[in-house]
Amino acid sequence: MMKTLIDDKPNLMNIFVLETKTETLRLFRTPGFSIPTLLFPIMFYIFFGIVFSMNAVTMPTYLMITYAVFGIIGPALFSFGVGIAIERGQGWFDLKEVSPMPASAYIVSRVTLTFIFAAAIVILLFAIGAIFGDVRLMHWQWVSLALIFVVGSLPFCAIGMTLGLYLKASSAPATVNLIYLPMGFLSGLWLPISFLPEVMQQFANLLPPYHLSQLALKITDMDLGFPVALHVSVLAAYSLIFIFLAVKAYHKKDKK
Amino acid sequence: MKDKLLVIVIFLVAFFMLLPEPANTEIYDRAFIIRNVQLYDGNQRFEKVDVSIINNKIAEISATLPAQTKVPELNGTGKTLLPGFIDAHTHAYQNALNEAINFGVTTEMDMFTMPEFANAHQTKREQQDNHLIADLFSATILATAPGGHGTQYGFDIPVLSSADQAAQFVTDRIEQGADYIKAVYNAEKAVRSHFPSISHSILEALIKSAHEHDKLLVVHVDNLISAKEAIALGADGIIHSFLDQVVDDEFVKLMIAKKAFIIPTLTVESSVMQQSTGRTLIQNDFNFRYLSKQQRQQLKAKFPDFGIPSKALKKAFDSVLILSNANVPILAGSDAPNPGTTHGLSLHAELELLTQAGLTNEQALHSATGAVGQHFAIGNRGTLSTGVLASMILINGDPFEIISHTQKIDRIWKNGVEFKRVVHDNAAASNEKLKAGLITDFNQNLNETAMGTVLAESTDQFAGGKSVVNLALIEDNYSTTSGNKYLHVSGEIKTGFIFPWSGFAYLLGKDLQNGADLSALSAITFRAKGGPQTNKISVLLFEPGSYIPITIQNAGFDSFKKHIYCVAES
Amino acid sequence: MNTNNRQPIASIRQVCKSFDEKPALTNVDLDLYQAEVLAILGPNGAGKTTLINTMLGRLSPTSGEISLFGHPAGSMQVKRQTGAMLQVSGLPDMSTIKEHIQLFRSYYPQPMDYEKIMEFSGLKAIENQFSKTLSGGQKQRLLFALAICGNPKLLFLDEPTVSMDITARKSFWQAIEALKSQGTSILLTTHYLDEADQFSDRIIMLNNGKVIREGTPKAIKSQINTKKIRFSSQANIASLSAIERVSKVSKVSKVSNGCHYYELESTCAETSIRQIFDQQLEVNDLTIIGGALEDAFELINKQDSALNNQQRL
Repeated sequence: MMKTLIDDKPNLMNIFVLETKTETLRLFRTPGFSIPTLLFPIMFYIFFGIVFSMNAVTMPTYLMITYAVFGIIGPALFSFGVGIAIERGQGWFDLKEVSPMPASAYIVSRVTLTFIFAAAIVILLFAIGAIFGDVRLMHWQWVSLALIFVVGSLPFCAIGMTLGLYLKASSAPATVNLIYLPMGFLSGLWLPISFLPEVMQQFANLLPPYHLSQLALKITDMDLGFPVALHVSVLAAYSLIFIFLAVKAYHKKDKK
Repeated sequence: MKDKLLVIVIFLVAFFMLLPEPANTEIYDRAFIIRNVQLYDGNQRFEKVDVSIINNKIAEISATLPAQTKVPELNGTGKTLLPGFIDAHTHAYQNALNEAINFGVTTEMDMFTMPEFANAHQTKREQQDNHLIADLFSATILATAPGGHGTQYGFDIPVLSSADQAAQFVTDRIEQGADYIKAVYNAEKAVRSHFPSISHSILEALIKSAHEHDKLLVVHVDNLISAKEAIALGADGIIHSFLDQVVDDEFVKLMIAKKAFIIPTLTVESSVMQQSTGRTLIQNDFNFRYLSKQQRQQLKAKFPDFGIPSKALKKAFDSVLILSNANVPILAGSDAPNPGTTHGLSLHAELELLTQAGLTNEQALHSATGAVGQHFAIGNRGTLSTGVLASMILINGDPFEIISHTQKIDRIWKNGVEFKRVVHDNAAASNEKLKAGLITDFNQNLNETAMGTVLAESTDQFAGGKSVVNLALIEDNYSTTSGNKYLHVSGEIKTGFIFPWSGFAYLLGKDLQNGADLSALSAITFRAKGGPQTNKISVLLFEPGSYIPITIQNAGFDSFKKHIYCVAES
Repeated sequence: MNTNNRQPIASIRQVCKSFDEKPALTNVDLDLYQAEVLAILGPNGAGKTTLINTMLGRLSPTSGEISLFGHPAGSMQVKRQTGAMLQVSGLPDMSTIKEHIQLFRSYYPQPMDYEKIMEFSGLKAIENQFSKTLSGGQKQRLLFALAICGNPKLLFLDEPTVSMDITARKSFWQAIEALKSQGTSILLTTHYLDEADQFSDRIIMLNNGKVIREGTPKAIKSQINTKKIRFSSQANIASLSAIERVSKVSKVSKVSNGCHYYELESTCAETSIRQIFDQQLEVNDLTIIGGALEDAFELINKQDSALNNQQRL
């Protein structure tokens, strides 16, 4: 039997860049995705955080942070969750799967894409907060917040990826919205967590966006005062569980 | 590709550089370094350190901290950094907590106030952005007997007449938000007894109940016998030192055995003994402008002279030294705003008095900082170590050398945010000065007096009581002036208000708000005589803008005589 | 073509695959050689797509061995040397043809020149169109372009010419010919049996998950050897079905010139013609047409079902 060995490998970096570029262009050309994803958190923020702010001193800062968390979760859930589900439904995902595209390229490109969207949302929210909400923070706080938001989208990428691999294309957008919106509200991203009834506050402990928002609020000393380690470990636990589920789903052969 | 990346990086850097930072003054609140400062952390003295504060908290204390760009620095050379003081005995209401912080007292332990006031401020003390007023801990309503000490202020408060009420009383206080329980006690065996007191068994039941709820119980006493009994029963602390006798060995051993503390309140005791520190405090230039008019009045106010022998005060001082030398914890408390004391500043006076009693300056400082938190559950207030919210005072001087340097406050921070001290306007009210002359000879109508405007009935109906009075101008033969009429006051005191009264009042000014400027006068003179039921005559003088009398001169007047009241002094 | 001397680049041995106990492939053996076009034929549900998915590594066989270029199916080494055109219902809408192709090219260590891909796929004129705007045939061509952009040594094509128009189909087969001449092996499934007949070197017929026939189109045809005999006659011949080896008779009468056209299907044309001549029938314009694959497939299926029926009896 003839055995051919190809030692050459394609340039991985090149794949990452092209994959990301293609995906980014594609999403920005899809206004049905990019506009709501970018505008929802910003509109909500302007509405609740600035125009109808209950406390002009702290509310614009507090809600700028929580809406940023809300904002970054959107692209993570949608670009992964809905995106993968639809491509799977079309057979496009299968085509990529039989091509020598490294699985890492698929993930890296979508994570990068999520980062780009997260960065865009964060930049817009920061600008609006600073200009219209009179948010004043030290440079290290601005930068740390931005980093927390961008890195903090990773657990949600994992959740999104898992949803994408398990959900059907037809039901994916509705299902992801059903998770995204209530989870945002119950985690205290729309209104400060302390405004919610006690039972809901307790429930928020189970939700990863709550923990990410608490972590970010620590930067401005607006958190509820639980230890960083608690929030980080909950987020890490969520990431690991969902990465595990995603890997399991991806390697599940014989999918029809 | 690389060009695009560069553009993105430049954009991001520019964007974050353009994001606004807080105004410069606030930078001091958020992150700053105080260099080469003498630090007292509430327990220990460090001669020369650098202290960095980040995010409202003490971040690092070190011999030398590396220079950091963008972090403002304060030169602490020749200065002393202290924890915000804790006044372990006050009565907090109205502006108490604003006045306290204005002199670096960032925590007050209230020993009797209304629960509404206490609760509002107990909530605030948990908020980190509460940097404009001092934190409050409170006993809320004290435990006393019917008609006992504490009932004389006109508040309708629950009182205890039997031991079986004690448990309910304690639960009620805790439900009302009491951080600890305060009781007023006077032993049956005690020689002095101004007021009725709760019994030994009630005190015992109160202590037991408080401890069951994990609350401290502190006892107000004014003599050693009562203190001994209270401590023997398990009270956690004693309020006030003793004017009757110097502590004996038995008491010292008892205090040590029971690990009890004492809040001597030498400031208020000095004031009781007519040796108020108040006037001296006002005279210090660095204090005056930070005192409100009301505070100045409080400091000038005097207790009535109880006629206690003057050497009694020395006994109180001596007791403090003996207890301190025996390592009994001493906590500094001013008992503000009793006459001669005021919130904030009087704690500085207490420190001075404690050193006069013989405590070292460091012991005195400890009594108002680290010592308090070792007994009361107040978190890490009164200490300055890494991770602690920076409530602190920067002193222009060295209170280890001269204790009164604590009053030379350079800056105050509360919860890491600088508190800008409030400067009070000293401009006097612009009333015309009253010229000397006859008030009235009662020969005309009451309302047509020569000076002032009001000469009128005054009864407790003003406060909801039922007493009545009748004023009449009657022919007489006492008058030394042209006319021959005098004012006859008759009335009936009826129950209905806790301090019923019936009489008449004469106001020199146009009304209560504006008063009259008496600075051109030297004295007020009148003749009066009281009947068998007549209680007293009071002359109340106020400083402009204040409703607290600086002097209350009371006198009985069984026989008809001439009364002369000096006004020049104030 | 003699394939026996050559090493196969892909081989399948005794592969079985069942879904929930239902067999989809049973003991399939298959070898694929360099520069060979292998067509897999079979009715719907015969297991064609299952076979391709198994070879692509998307399905793992229940038993048996699959080896491509000496590596297991689905390994990266294999993926880099293969291309695949699957039945894809939609493409990400908002990317251009060029972007899709450039992205797929980046996956391969030695991708085909972009211009060459354009030439093979005939997409040059619309390279900047979004995939959203493409017709069904253009989409198929794009999928073909994506399959070949890695310069594959082995190309899997699942129903490649579905929805292509005639011109597209023609250029597609030209491209296949060109790839083959470069040494590429092609494994395809198709419903267009004439295409398999015309362009494949070898055919594997699948039915019920089993290989029922394997060979060159010619060999398969010769196995069945059905030919058509056409002629015209002035006479109305009624007895044609009696002629030996004739399986089917069609008659068309043209009234205008009174001529009758006949088409006979014979499993042995020589014998049948001899009989026609022996019976001295009036015959004009006699032509013999070689067997078509459609016929062969139909026949085999018939035989198969007959066999099945027998087995059942």
